[in-house]
Amino acid sequence: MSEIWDVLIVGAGAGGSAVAAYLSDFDINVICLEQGDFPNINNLPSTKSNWETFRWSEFNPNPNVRKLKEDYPINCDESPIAVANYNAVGGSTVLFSGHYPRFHPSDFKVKSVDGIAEDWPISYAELAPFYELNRKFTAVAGLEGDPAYPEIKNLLPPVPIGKMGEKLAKGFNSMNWHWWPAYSAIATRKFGDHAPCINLGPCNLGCPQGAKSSADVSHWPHALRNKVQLQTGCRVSQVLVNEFNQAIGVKYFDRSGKEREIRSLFTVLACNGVGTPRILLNSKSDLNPKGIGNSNDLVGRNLMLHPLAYVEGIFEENLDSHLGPQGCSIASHEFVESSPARGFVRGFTMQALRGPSLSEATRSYQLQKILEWGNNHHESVRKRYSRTAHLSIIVEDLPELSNRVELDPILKDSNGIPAPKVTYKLGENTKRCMAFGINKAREVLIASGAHTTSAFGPVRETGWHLMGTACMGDNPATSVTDKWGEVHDCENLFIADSSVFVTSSSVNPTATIQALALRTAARINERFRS
Amino acid sequence: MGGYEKPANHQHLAAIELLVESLIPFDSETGLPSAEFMDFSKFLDAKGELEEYLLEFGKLIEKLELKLGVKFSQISVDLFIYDKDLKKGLTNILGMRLVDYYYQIPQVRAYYAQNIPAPFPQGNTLLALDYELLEGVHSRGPIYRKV
Repeated sequence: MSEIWDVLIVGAGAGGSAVAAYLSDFDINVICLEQGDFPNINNLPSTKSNWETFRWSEFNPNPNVRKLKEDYPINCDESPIAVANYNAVGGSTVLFSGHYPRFHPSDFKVKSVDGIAEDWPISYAELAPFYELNRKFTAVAGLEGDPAYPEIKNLLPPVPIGKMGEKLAKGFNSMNWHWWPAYSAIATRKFGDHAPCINLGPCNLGCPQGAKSSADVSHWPHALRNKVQLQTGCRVSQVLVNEFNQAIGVKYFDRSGKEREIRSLFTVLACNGVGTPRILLNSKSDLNPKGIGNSNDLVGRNLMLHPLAYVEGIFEENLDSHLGPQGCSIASHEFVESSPARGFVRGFTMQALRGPSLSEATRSYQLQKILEWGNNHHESVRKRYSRTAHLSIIVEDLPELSNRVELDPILKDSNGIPAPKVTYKLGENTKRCMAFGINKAREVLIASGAHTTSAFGPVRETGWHLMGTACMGDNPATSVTDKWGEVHDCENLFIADSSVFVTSSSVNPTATIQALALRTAARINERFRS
Repeated sequence: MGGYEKPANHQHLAAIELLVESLIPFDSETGLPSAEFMDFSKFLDAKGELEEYLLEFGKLIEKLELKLGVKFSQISVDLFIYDKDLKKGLTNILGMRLVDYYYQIPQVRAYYAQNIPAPFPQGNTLLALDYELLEGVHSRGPIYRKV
């Protein structure tokens, strides 16, 4: 225990991996503690004949269903959306679909442009160099010239959009609505440690080919080659501070269940928008009676989850919609920006989803009560499967103090650490936005040729995007960290995950998590040298 | 009622066998097979769920006896199958697992053109982007707000 590391990272997912990869290029001793293990890409579900069934067991996105030794329970009884995650080196990116857009310029200035929530303390222009820097590690496929963004250059070729994508693209064109090939964290040709994608399909069960830029493929090989120490099977319970309330390390349980301490000059929490506030809230002491960083009672609050609706259209012809990278075909940013006539502020994106697989599709029909039994059973499947186009509506969630993560008073994990409890309700603005989005998705599906549409939302098992629970800001009274991710109340403690998001945008957050994490790492490097 | 502490007897099994086949019957149009109870029960057994499901099935039988006022052994299996409430109850209990089992059958998956045995390492060939489709989108110019 005598060793003092320069930088200690907690969590080897999207944010932690980016910090590790960045700092590994400098003369800094870095260690990372991760509660999961390194995924074995040779043993992922897509290599097995019964690959689909793993979605309902050890590769289920819900940790309460998965119940692996590295998982901790999460009480989501008071939320219509269940938290989804994956605890491993690479974190939830192991199971993410790879949809990888940036936030838009206005996403950082919602108060200035729309008069709601708060502005971020940084702008798109300040973050743009770090989006670029991240492409050193992450394979980003897409197409230049997208009118939804300032110029983005040097992308890998887009993932093929497939028959379903083309059908929908024509529908969007007939409405004169924006669409564009999806930004995808997928190597469409050889890139670094990645193999080129061969369109296996179920990216959200892990990519056995190593074509998807999950952090175990994109960032960790670089960090490990540069001698970053990665210790798996270690679950952190709390941050340790000295008498000046400066972070000095963490307390954790090793694989055998033995409680240990580790010391560092700088500590970085990167455990996602639920795991990070959990550790902060559990770090109670005389100096921090409500937990670290929580003197203003904001830790855990303002949880944003990107409520998601699915809208489906059934077509007469076969669209081969079950084939190809599940989350990456085309996306529309037509309704991202506010329009006063709509009755809500901010907006949503529409993302074409491929799949689901046969088992997942028929399960979904059963859950929707549209699966017929008896003599009509086969026809009820035949007329839908691979003839259905799917659009997801990703709604920009607004921060609300009552939506929060707390410590559950009863539920504990296998090490006896209090489990997180999520309390969440959809705000009125979110509900109106989602209803509007569902109608627009139905319109474009019909314009594309669908003869029948159906919709449901919010979808419960979609709480992947965990944002806002330790938000950044210039004012210590109204935020948890400064604009670099350093906790106002606790010097040398940084946060490098989506907890620091001020608002949520209407796009997937991983590209922004990693750009912010690289920016935070650059700040730590500066601080270390000073 | 009693008598059903044990999950099922052979009469119950005969009934559930017929029910499983009636929920997903043979399809003469495509040749898709019916759901076979023996294979389905093996599937449940492998998951350690067979006893639980048969227990639920036994509870349904208790309901049927209450409803009709006779012992199960005195009822025609056909009546059970065509009792809408009970069939719905059984579907609710068995439906998801029946789907899980049936749509893993190689013959069924082959019909729906799913990769067998697994997506890796074959992959898929997909329709590529027709860039002309984007001309109208691009010509609109920027749609993001400059802040």
